[in-house]
Parts: sequence; structure tokens; C-alpha cells
Amino acid sequence: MTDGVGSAPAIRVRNLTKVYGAKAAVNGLSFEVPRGCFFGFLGPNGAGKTTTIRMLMGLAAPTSGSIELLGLPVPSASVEIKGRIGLVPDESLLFDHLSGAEFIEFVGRMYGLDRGVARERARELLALFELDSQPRKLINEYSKGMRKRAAMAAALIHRPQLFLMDEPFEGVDAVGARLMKEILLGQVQQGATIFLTSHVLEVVERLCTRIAIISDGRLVADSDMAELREGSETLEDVFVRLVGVERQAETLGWL
Amino acid sequence: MVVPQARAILWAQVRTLWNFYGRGRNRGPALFTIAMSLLWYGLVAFGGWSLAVLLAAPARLEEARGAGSQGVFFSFLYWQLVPLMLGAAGAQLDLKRLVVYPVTAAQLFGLEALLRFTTGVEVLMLMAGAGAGVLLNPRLRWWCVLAFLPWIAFNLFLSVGLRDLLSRMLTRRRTREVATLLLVLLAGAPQLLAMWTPPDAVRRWFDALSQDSLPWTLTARMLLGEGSLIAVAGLAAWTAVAFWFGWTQFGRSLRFDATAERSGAGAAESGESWVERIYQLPGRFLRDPLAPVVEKELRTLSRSARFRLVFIMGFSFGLLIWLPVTLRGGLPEGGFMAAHYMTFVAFYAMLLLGEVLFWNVFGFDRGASQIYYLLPVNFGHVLMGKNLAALFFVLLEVVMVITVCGLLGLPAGFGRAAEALGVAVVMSIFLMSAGNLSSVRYPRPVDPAQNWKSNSAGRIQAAFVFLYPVLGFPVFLAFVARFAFDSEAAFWGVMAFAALLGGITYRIALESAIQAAETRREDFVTTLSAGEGPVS
Repeated sequence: MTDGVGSAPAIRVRNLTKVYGAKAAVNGLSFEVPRGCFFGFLGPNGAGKTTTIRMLMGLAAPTSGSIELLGLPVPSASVEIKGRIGLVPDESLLFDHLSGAEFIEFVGRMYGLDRGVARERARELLALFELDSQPRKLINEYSKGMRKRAAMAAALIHRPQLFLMDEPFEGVDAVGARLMKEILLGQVQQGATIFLTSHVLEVVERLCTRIAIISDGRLVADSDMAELREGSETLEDVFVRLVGVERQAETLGWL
Repeated sequence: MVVPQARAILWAQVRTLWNFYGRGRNRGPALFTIAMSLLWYGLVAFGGWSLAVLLAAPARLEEARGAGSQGVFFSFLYWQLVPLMLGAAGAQLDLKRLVVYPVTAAQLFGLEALLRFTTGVEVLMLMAGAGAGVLLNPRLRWWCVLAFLPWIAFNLFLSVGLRDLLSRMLTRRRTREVATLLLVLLAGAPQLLAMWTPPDAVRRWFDALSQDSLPWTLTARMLLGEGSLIAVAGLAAWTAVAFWFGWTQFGRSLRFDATAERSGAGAAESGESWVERIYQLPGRFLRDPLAPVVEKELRTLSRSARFRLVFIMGFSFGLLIWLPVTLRGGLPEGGFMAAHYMTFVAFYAMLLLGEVLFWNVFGFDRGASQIYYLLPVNFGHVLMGKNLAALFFVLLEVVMVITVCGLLGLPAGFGRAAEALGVAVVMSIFLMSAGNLSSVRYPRPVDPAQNWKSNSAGRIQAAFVFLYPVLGFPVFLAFVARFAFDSEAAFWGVMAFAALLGGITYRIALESAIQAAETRREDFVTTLSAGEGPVS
């Protein structure tokens, strides 16, 4: 690894665009995520968050623009990059007919861990995320929160340098969320970078040091949390101010 | 070389299958699959044994050499064409889930190529028989059987390429229709030409299959002791071309963004009001809650890549594969096959559409099926709604077949068209009766965006050979009655009786399915909510 690669931002996105049919889901996005940063990527529904994270994960190809992860260009160095990132994707990437331990072991082996190591780490992670009470339970029998915990446990198994997380706290109960937050903060303290999307603004406000907000495929804010929250504004106030006018609940005649 | 990631994928798939079938809940379909597979592969094994006996006899070697090229060519056709025709192209990697891991494209391609074995099991069994025969034949050297190695590689690579190419083509909406039309015209051209061409010309075309430069001829020559260094080089060149084709197409599929393709299609579809009018048609004749169920089925099925594929295949390939059989008897007016050409095509279409429209009607709904338990709707109305939509698509398919037959100048008189439609309706009633039961007792989630069925074509052929004749027996009796009494009235009389019998069967089966849906509610929802493994 060269020095340039080692000191490069964890994520560097330049003029990223993704067009579906006639609509640009992501339109000329540019931002950087420094290493060791807890980065929150926010936006209203349909703003382009998931499309962006799918392009970062390599699940979708950009129409134009460039992506660098850990100083390496995507997609030309994608195999090396993939080995160094941990993913908490949406639920579709879980294998429902595997038990939690089997799934985590599978992911470990896909990251090139020795089978014995993967199995041992899977067992330990299962215990850490409190999923070990019913080891034979299949993922399709898990609750939504348990599925998220299993996905996060799998993301940790190869000790990645960068985490890409799509709504990691969705459906997770308070105890589980506390556990996950502690683990993630521990990873950041050890030098890892976390990029997450979430609609739970309170969690983002508490965890993230830097925020980007996207609306209608374009970046409308990208700064440190403290700079973003001027005075006594909450993140929710900032978010609503930036992504659109406050809508009043209209009353339907028949409702 | 089997890399660790490939081993991990195979391990996860084995665990997935074991967890799905080995926990009691799904043993019924597993046992059914095993029984059907035993019957089908038993027949194929008998074929392999016959081949071994033939090739082991030194006295019959010249005879084998005479037909070797055509034999290997038909194994090629079976491996490449039959899975496509039956819309059942075997297991494949679920690339959209595996692409996030640090696995190289070359490793994934290697694994995908190995999975193409699942579409050629029958061919491999026959090849094993042929190989044993060659080894036992004292006039042939043992190394002749090595000719199968490049032949297998050639077929595996080609199969990857063909499947990936067709999958992408069928996802692109506009291209899909045009490509299918071209495919039908292209594939139909030789057969249509054959209709108006003297038999000598047809024989010359058939002889052209044995040209020295073609891969099946080279394989046959090498296998039967007539090989040379040039033949080895030729087969290696063909294998290299197949590798290049497979690798290129696989690479394109890896980069293919189906979401982008579909989003374009959606935009185009919204402007087509005539399609919308078809969707809303049931609302004019049916009452709620039946009408919205039928309407929903028409919308979701016609938007599913998988359904569209089998529907298009149903009439296009259906017309093509039965045409040569028909023509073999001489002019289209002669012979049993020719006389009932449209009926055979309709029967084939129902076979293809079977899994989606009859046997697993909740498959595409997956986890959303639980809504039928949450809404204040009788479950019977849901099943009847799905059945009516199925009948609509079956009849639409048959009408399309009749129209194409008319356009191609094939015999498509009123009587034959009525027969095809009648058989389709009566068969559908029996298929729906059995299908409603299997749909609630053995549901299986299906990804509607996936073009091909994951199972091998063999199981479908087993259903074709064993299951459909049983359900189609009352219809068969109608044909027997026509033959015995030489009377159309006898045919339609028995058909009417079969329809009545089907109606009673349907009613009883529907009640039973409704009860099963109630008692198996939890299993039903859990099974349909599950996803698949790394290999789908």
C-alpha cells in the first residue's frame, strides 16, 4: 500500500450520478469522508441514499463520476476494497435458510478467513450480539431487530477498516441499539470509519461527527455536526429546514 | 481449483437445502421431487445403459460411427436448448448477493460454469453410458473417452453465455419483444423452409451437421477412434470460443443493472393505456373481492420477468418444437400430430406456465401472502381470483398460438382452434384443482425478477411424462371417444362430461385447500417469507 493510499480519505466521491430511465436518482454528488470518522448520510425517502450506498457497495454501477474507498478506485480495485470493508446492507442480502451462526461463518469464509477461525469468531459474535440462546434458529425466524444484529455481527467478522451501513438501527430494540452503538463507537476509537444512513436522527445526532444531507439526488449539506447545528437547533430542525418546507398535515374530508 | 470462497458458497448452499428440506416442514415436496427424479432419471439411466451396450459391441462400431455425429449433436441440443425451452435453466449463483464479497469475477465464473452441470445431468448420464461402452470396446483405446472433457467444457461455457445473454435480453423490455420475435423467425425459418422444400434438400441440411469442422463431429470422431491432432486442435478452438463467449456474457451480467432497465420499462408502461384497460377488464364482469384479486394477478404476473419469459416461450418455442414433429408426418394436413398441432402447443404452454399459474400460485407474493389472512376476505375468493387470472393467461396464450398458426399458413380452422381452447380449459380446471392444494400445502417463495426456474429441466420433463397425463386423462378419453365413434359429438360430449367432473373436483379441492390454508397458516406464511441461498 502506498502512502497516498494510506492517507487518503476513507471515501472520496466525485460527481457521482446515477440515472434510472429519465430520472437522476443521484445527481453530481461529491463528498469526502475522513478516516476514523463516524459519518451520517441523511436524506428524506427517495432522496438517493440507498442508491448511493449501493454504488459504494458495488451493487450498482454509477452512470458517471468516480468513487474511491480507502484510497483505491472502484471498480478497478474492487476485490481488494471489498476485503477491507464491512457491510450492513438491507435485509435482502441475508440468507434466510441459514442459522445466524452459519450465516456469520459463511460471511467470514467469503472474506477469506480460515474455516476454523470463521466458525470460532461466528460463535463469539453470536454471543456478543446476544443471538446465541437458540443457535439453530434460522434467519427467516428472526425478528427484524435480530436480523439487523446478525448482519452487523457478520460485518465485523473480518475486522474491516470501513463500514457501510444502510439503516443499521431499523427495527432494533433499545437494548440491542445500545449494544450496537457501543460496538460501533469502539470500532471508530480503533481507527475504523463508519458511513451510515439512518432515519433515526436522535441516534445520528449522538453518534456521528460529520453529516451529509442529500435531497432529490443532490447534496444540500456536508459539514461537521457542530457546524451544522447552529445555536440550539436540533438535527431534526436542520434536516427539515434543508430538505424542504415543513408540511402541515392536511385533513382529508373523509378521514 | 476450488478456492475457499467457492467452498464457502457450496457449503452455505448445502446448509440452506438441509435447513429447508431437512426440518420436517418441507418433506412433502422433497419426497415428491425425489420420486419424480427417480422415475425420470431411471429412464435416462436405462438410455445410458443401452448406449453402453451399443458402443461396447465391436461389430456395431461402424454403425455407431455413422450416427455418432448426429448423436453428439442431439446431446448438444438437449444441453443447450431444452433448459431454455422449458424455462428451467438449473441452478445459478445469486450474484446480487455475492458481488459484495471479495471474490474475483474469474472465481464466480468458474463456479457458475460448474453449476451449468445442473442443466445437463441427463446428458452426463448418457455420456457416462457411452464412455463405459467405449472403454469396454476392444477395438477402441481407453483414451478415446477423453474426448468428452473438452466437449463438457464447451457445453458448460456455452451454457453460461447463452443463459446470461438471454436473461439480459429478456430484462430489457423493448429489446425483449423484438429479440423474441427474431428468435422465433430465425428458429422457425429452417422448419418453414423444410415445409416447402424437397426431402433431398432436408437430407442435405441434415448431412451438413456432420461436417468435419463442427464440434460435435470432432467429438464423435475422437470418441469413436477416428481422432487426429487436427481434430484435437479443432475441438480446443471451439472450446476456447465457447469460453470467450461465456466469459464475456458473464462479465456483462455482473455489470448489468436490472433496476435501471426496469425503471425505464416502468416509465414506458405508464403511458400504455390499452394495457391498463386489460388490467381493469375483470372489474367490469366480476364483483369484489374477486375482481381486485384477478386485477392484481394480471398486473403482477405481466410485470414479472419470470412469468413473461415462460409466457413468451410458451407460444414461441411451443410453435417451434412441435412444428418439426408435425412435418415429419408429411404435409401439415396429415398425421395425428399435424391434426392436433395447436392442441399440443397449448398443452406445452400449460406445462411451462404450470409452476407459476397452477402449482405454486402464492410463490410470487412471497411474504405479502400474509395479507390474505389479514384482510376480511374468504381465502376461497383469493384462490378463485388467482385461478381466473391463470385461465385468462392460458386462453390468451392459446389465442396467440391460433393467431400465429393462421399467419404462418398452418391449418387453423375453427374446429382445431375450438379443440385447442376446449382442451386448455378442461385441463386448466384439473390443474387448478390439484394446484390449489399444492399451492397451500407446499408453497415456495419465488423471485419474480429472476428469469429462469432454478430447478433442472429434468424434473419438469418428469412432470410432463408422469403427472400431466394423469391429470389430462379425462381429456385423453375424449380423444379416444372421437377415435372410437369417429364423431365430433362424441369428443365434445366426453369433453363436457370431463368439464363437469373437473368442476366437481375443483369444488372439492377448493374446500380442502381453504381448510389447509387455515390449519397451516403459520407454516404457510413462514415458508413464503423466506429467501434463498447463495445459489438460486
